[in-house]
Parts: sequence; C-alpha cells; structure tokens
Amino acid sequence: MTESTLDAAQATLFAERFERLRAAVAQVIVGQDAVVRDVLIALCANGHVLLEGVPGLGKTLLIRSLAEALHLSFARVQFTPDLMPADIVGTHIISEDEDGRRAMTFQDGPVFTQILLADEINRATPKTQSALLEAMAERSVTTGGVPRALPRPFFVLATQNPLEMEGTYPLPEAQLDRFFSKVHVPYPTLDELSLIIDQTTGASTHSVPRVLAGEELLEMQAAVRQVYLPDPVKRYALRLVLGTHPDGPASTDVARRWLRFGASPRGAQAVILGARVRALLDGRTHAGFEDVRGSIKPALRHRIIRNFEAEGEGHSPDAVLDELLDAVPDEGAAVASSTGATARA
Amino acid sequence: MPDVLARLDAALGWLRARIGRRTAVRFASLAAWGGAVLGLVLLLAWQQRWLDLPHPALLLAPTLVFAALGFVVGSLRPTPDRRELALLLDSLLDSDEAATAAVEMHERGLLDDTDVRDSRAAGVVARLDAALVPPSTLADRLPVRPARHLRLLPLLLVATLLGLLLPRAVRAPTPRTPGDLAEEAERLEERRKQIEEEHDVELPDELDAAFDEVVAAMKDQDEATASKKADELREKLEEFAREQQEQAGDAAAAAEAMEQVDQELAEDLQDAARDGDLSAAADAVESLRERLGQQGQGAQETAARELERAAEQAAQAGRDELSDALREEARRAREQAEKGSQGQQGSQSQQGQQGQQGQQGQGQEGSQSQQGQQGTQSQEGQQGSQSQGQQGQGQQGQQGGDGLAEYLRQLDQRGVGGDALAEAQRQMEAAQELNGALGGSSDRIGQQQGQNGGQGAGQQPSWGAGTSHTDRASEGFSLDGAAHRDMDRQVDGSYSDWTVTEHSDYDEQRLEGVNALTQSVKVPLNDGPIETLSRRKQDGSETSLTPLSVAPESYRRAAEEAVGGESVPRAYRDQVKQYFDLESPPKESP
Repeated sequence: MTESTLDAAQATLFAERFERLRAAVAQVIVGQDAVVRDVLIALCANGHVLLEGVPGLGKTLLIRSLAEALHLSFARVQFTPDLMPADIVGTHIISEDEDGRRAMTFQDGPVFTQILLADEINRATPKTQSALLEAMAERSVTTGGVPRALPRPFFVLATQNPLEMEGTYPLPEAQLDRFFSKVHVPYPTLDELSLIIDQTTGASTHSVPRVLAGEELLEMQAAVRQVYLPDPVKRYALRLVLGTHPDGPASTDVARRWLRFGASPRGAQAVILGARVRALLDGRTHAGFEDVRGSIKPALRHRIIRNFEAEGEGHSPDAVLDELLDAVPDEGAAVASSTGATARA
Repeated sequence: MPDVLARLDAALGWLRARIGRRTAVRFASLAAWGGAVLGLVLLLAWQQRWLDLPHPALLLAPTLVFAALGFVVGSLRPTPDRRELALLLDSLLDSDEAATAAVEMHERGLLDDTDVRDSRAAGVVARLDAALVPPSTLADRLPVRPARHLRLLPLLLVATLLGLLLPRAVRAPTPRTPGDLAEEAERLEERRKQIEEEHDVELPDELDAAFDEVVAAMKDQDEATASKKADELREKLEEFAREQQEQAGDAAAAAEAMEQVDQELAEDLQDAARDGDLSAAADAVESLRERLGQQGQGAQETAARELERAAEQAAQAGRDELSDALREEARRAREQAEKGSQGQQGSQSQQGQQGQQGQQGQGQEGSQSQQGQQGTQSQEGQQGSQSQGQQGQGQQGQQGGDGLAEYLRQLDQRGVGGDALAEAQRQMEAAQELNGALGGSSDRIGQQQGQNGGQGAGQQPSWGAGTSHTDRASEGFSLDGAAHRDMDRQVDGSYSDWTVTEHSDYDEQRLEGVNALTQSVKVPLNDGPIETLSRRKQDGSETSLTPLSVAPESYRRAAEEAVGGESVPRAYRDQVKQYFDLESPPKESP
C-alpha cells in the first residue's frame, strides 16, 4: 500500500480544477449543471458515462465541449445498425510502403482516442456494442490476437435516445454495468432555453477554452482513490448496494417489491468512487454518508433491473433508489435514533 | 492538533455522560409511569375497600420506588462505544463524519495526540476543528427528558392525589362494609321474630343464645367470629330440627311399621299420630295384642314376623327405641303363638308351668309384679280356661321388656304427644326456616359462609326464606338436588364426570315451561347411556302428589299431546301413557 499524499491542499486543488472544468463547459452548455457535474465526477473517477435524453438537449455538444476543455483527443462514432465492430476497433488493411512492398497493417479505429463519443449507442447491433466491452473495462482492444492499449485517460461517453425504440437494440446488462454512471439529461428550463436560443441563433459564437491537461486529470483521478473512507461510510454504501438484491441476506422490502436483480460489485465500486469524488469536491479528504447518498442514483440506476410490477406501475429506478435510501439509514442516524438525539436536518 | 483531539475527547465524554443521564431519566420516567398506574389501581382497590393501607399516602410509594429502580437500571445500561459516539457527534454537528474519521484514524495509528502520520488526517482534523463546538451547545439536540408520552406522568400523580382526597364513603357500598353487616344483623333479627310469630313458637334457650351471639358478632363487625358462630348455629338448628322430626315421627313410623301386621291397627295409629294422641296409639297397640291372642297360631306367627321386619326397618332408619319396642312386641307375639298353641290343647299344668316359667323369668330379672303373682296363682290349681291362660301368658310376656304400647306411653309421658308434638313440629319448621334465613345472611358475611348458605338453601329449599335467596327452590319446589354429579358413560365404555349445577329445561316441546333435570345414570357396560327425567316434587316425598287431573292446564295439555303426539315414538307411547296413568289423586285432593 502506497502512502497517501492527499492532504487538504490537494483536495482544495482538486476542487479548483473541477470548478475550472465545469466553468469551461458551462460557457457552451447552458444549464444542465447536475448533468455536467455527474459527467465530470465520472471522469474524475475514471469511469464511463451513459447519457440518456431526448434529441437536441446538447448531449453531444456537452461531450465535445468537455473534450475541448480537457485538451484530450476526441472521436465520435455514430452508431447505426450496420455499424461493424471493426468500424470501432479498427482493422487490418493491406498497405504499401515506400519500397512498394505490401503488408497487413492495423488501422486504428475511432476507439483509439481519449474521449470517445458513442452517439446513439443503442442503434448498433449487440455485436457492435460488445466491441466496446473490452475497451471500456480493460482500456485496451485485442485485434488479431494482439492486445492494444488505449491512450490514457480513456472515456466512453455514450448517448441514447429513450423515445425511439424502433430499430434499436437495448444495451445488454453486461455493457450497462461497465458504465460508471448513467446520467439523465433533462429538458432545459425556460431561462436556460432562452439562453440557448441566444447563444446559438445569434451572431456571436462561444468556444470552449482548454483549462485542464490530461495529466492534470490523471492527478485528479489518483487523488480520488486516496480519499479516506471510514468504515461506517463504506458499510453504508455496501448495505445500500446489497439492499438492491431482492433475494440476498441484506435484502430490503424495497428490493423485494420492485426489483428483479440488484446491483453488481462494480456498482459498489462506482458508489464508493463517486462518494470519494464528492468528498474532494467538498474539500474533504474523507468521505461521508452524504457523499454516498449523492452517488447512489447515478451509479445504480442503470444497474438495477426492475420487475414487472415496477415497470407496470411506472416506478422508475430513481424512485426505487429513493425508497432504498429511506429504508436503509446510515449508522450515524441509527445511533442518533437509538439515543434519542435530534439528527441533522 | 492535540487541542482538537482533546476537544474531541471532551465532546465524546460529554455525549457519553449525557446519554447515560438521558437513559437513566427515561427509564426512571417509564418506571414511574408504571408505578403511577399501579398506584391508581391500588387507589381504586383502596377506595373500594379491597385493600387496606397503613396510610393512604403509601399509594404514591409505587411511583417513587419504581422511579428509583428505573433510574438505577437506566444508569447501569451500557453506553455507546467511542465509534458510536463519534457517529452521533457527526450527526449532531453535521460534520460529514469528520469525527468518525478522526476516531478511526486514531485507532489505526494514522493520527495520535502529537503527530499526524497520514496526510489525509490533517484534512480530517481541520474539518473537525471547524465543526467542533462546545458540547454544551449540543444540549438541545440531545435533551435529558422523558419521552413525550411520559409527560402525562404528572397528570397520573395528580389524579392519584385527587383520588386520595375523595372520601372512601362515596364509593358504592359493598357487602363488606361495616354498615351493611350491622344492617344484615338487624334484618336477621327481624326475620327471626317474624318466623317465631308465624309459627307461634319460641326456639329453645340454647338456640336463642347461639343466635344472639351471631347477631352480636355481626353488629361488632367481627366477620370471622360471625362466620364461625353462624356455622355453629346452623349445625345446631339442623340437629334440633332433625331431632324434632324424628321424635314427632315415631308414632307415624310405628303406624307404618304395623301396617303389615294389622291394617285396622295401622289406621288407628295413623289417626293417633296425626292427632298427636300417643295415649290412644298405645291403647290401639294393646287392642292389637288382645286381637292377636284371639287369633290362631298362624296369624300370630305372621304378626311376629312382620313386627320383626318392622323392627329391622326402624333400626335401619336410626329409630333405635322404636326398633327395640317393635322387637319386644314381636317376641311377645311369637311367644304368644307358641303358648297359645299349647293353651288350645287345654293342658293347665303346662299353662301353670308356663306361668311358673314366666315367674322364674321374672325372678331372674329381679322384679316382682302383680301379673307374675297372678301367674303363680293360676299355677296353684285353679282351673284355667283358655282365655285365662292366654291372658296370663300375655301378662307374663309383658314382664320381659317394654313393648310398643309402653313405648308410646313413655313418649306421651315425655310430652311428645298432643300439644307438645304440635309444638315440636312448629319448632322444627321454625328452626329450618331460621336456618334458611341464616344461610342467606351468611352470604353477606363471607364468601365461604355464602357458599355454605347456598348449600343450605339447596338442601332445605322449601323452608329457605333467606333474605337473599335467589334459588328457584326457595319458591316452594325443588328438584332432586340443585347440583347433581353423575357419571356419564361414553361410547367406549368409559365413564366421565359431568355436573349439572342448574335446572335445565327438558324437552320444552313436550313439557312447556317445565324445569326438569336431565340426568345420566351409571349403567353396566354396553347397555348404553340412560337418560332420566327428574320429576319436580314437593319436599320430603319421593313421588309427585299432583295428579294429572288437577295439574295446570298447560301441563295437562302437554301430557295429552305427549301421549298422542307424533314426537313420541310409537314404541314409547305405552310407557308414556303408563306414567301418567300411574298418577292417582291423593285422598286430600279435591
């Protein structure tokens, strides 16, 4: 175990960099503060993000702006049903050198980038979607038996449209599980929409400044993993994750009523990492219960599988997770309750 | 740094002490609540005089004692450990688990009182430093006070105090209040006077004295003594009534015994017993002797056998004196039969010998009598006729002991006959009635006495004019007992106990409104259960004296319907009809 170098100053620096990045993106993306924050948290935790929202809400613009602000390489793949895995990963082609000799060389696909925008990922066939599995999990691809590392940092930022189900291929659970978080992109408010109109239909144009280098982002990712996680906080996160399992020993009434399958251990990792990022954003070197609570929905909403009753009653994953948070108190609240103290508001 | 940790330790210590006090107070208040409720219950019992206390203020004792015990138990409860206290502190301070992290880091050696060995600990301490406030400011977040629902405790105490102020006399009077016992004694005295006036008789002095003792004990509120004296008086009354009944019934019993010997004599005896004229009864018995002497040997032997049988029955009934008299009468009859047979043969010498034997017998018994001398004279050569011989034999026979006639005359001389017999009858009835009244009063004296009184009322229902009787039997009729305990045979051949403690309506369709008791009797195995209908009867008799012709209209109609109705199986109609046919009107019925 390496000795931690994280201190309060670094935590403050982390928060400053994060704020710079957020501010840069905000110059282009109007509103959507929560969306931007969740996406940036996933980036800081070295995770991939699945953005879900109706067309025209700026998902693609958000990701492109983020790439510009981070000064990272960016590639976009528009997923269609006829898209092939080789179109993403790359393929061997016959190439001719200066001497006229021909040889098979590997042509990198768009996945060889630092920020990959998988636009409308659910329109590709499962075969093509699965081409991203190794890249997302291992941050490498294997072609012709040869593993090829992807550049670091590497993010997959995918989008999907929840309205159009015709001709789409819902992502398999295995692939969903590889996304650190799933972020809902809501419709802008009236004021936000007014600003969007002003920015996009007027003569002036806005560009995204490069505020953060890739190395700085890697430092931020390293700092995240050094955040101290007290045992009660860790247990709370794990109890929440296990509480999503309808059949497990730590099952909750919420899970038994609404869920068919619970979150995976990768979901617990996402919750913990998200909590650590949130602690740093607060300038702390340790995580707390509130950080865990803030990470639950982005980290677990795509990892829980609702049962027929929940789907039939339109009980969304977020509603289920809200009930779960109410059903599983943190240890601090439990102690306060047992002693009759008035807990925090 | 050490300052922050010291402050953290102080805060945790303050929390531990605060929780300890809070737990103790909550336990004490909860226990006091229970004690107050117990006090209210005791207050109710005290008000109702179910409970006596040396001082009414003791009703507050359960509250105080329970509160003290609760405080001690609450103080001994384990308090949260250091980690739990840190979690609680974070919860109170809203410090994002800085205290929890600091305690944990301290335990893991990442942070101690003098040094920060982990870079993260500095951030934790800095965060804690900013969040930590003096513990006293957290007092309102962790109040030391009882739970909200226990704040009604003062109301309970006030209610208890107000209850103490209320006089006990305002409570509903109970059978155990002294006033009621005294009133019951007065009622009992009035009832006694009423009974004596109704029967125009006074009870013996011994019973009078015992009765006065019971009344005096009741007036003195001495419940135990009253109960004991009442028991004794009831036994005396029962004994007295039984003696009177036996004494007054000897003449009637003699008549019954003689019924098989001589029907005419029996009727005379019955008349004499009814009139209380025992002298006339004795004359009737002597007339019987004369008639027997004139009859043949066979009739005399039959009379002797019947007399012996009657003596056996009297002995079994406990009438020893009557039994002895009958036995002597039988002996005389038998001797008369034997001697009469010899007298008929005309042997005077034999008669003389017999007379001499009678004299010798008399001499052996050491008594001289005129009749014996007459027997000697007849032995000395007078020609005895048959009648003289018979008379001599009869007179000689009387010297062997007291016969029935002598016994009846003795009863007459003892004052049993005539007015004395009637008075004894009235005394018996008065005693029994007073016994019933005493049984009713015993209910007021105590539970045990109440039970005795109830039994007494059941045993003597028709006389039970007790002041608190509710038994139906006190209305003049009784069943074969108010409480039956019989054996009910099951299908498997075993027996099980069942008890009938109340009158049960039996077959209302057949006997509308008739209260009768269904009994099962113990029968041999494999014969199946037998149901019997206990007939309603008057006291002292074994069979109904009410014939069908004079039965109430509803009974008569029910009986006729029972005989002809379809509800009676055809195979049983004869038995049902025989039952009603067997009822014959008694002589005195109109």
